[in-house]
Amino acid sequence: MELVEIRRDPLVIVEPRGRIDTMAAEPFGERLTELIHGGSRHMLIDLQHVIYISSAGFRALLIVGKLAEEVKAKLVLCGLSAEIKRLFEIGTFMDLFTICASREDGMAKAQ
Amino acid sequence: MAQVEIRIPNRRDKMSEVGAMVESFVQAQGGSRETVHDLAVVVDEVLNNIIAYGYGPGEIGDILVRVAALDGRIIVDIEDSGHPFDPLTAPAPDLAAPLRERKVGGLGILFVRDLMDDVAYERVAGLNRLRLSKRLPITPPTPG
Repeated sequence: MELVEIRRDPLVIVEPRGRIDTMAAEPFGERLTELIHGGSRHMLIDLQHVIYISSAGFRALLIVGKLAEEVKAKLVLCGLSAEIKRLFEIGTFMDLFTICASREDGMAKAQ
Repeated sequence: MAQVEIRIPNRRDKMSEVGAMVESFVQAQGGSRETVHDLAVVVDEVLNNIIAYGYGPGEIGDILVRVAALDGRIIVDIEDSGHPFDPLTAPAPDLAAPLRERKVGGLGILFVRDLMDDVAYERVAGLNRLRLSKRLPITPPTPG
């Protein structure tokens, strides 16, 4: 997994690329946590270049989601492929996160 | 019958080699994007479980992953020498809890059950053997 970050102050767009598997989940979660601890309060995670997310990646998202809720940061997800959306549905994660169909909507929602 | 296999030690840094093998095999068998995705996720979940819970601290073991195409299905056999463990008996996560109370324990197994058509566990000769099976959707022949 590669992690691309794009800054559109105050918004940070995080674009993981590749596989958020067991190995990648830890650095993924750590970076998002770091961003929030560093003061980011408007974050969009664009998953359009993600091939898959395993449960370790969902664990990372949950931890970051809880932290964002605690510090009242906006955390929005977008770019879910049909396959990834299915995992969100199986795990009933759709209701736990703000999920947008397009990056444009996601950027607006995370502002 | 087309078949590939790989043997890895119980180390997380070896998991991606298995993932790459599974993905390229399923692709070569004409698996759709969804089929490749589902098998990759499931193999990651099963290996992660074995490595996390199958062995004691510092204990070294072997995990064998065999992938075959048979009768329009992809069959994945995963064998490990760890503690007896049937993942199908693992408790399901509480999916109704709000964000701050949510835990992801059991989520991996939920993915395994949901994404595969069939999952079977047996303990044979001191090994855990998990057989995962997923139908390959029939793809119409390409025109021309």
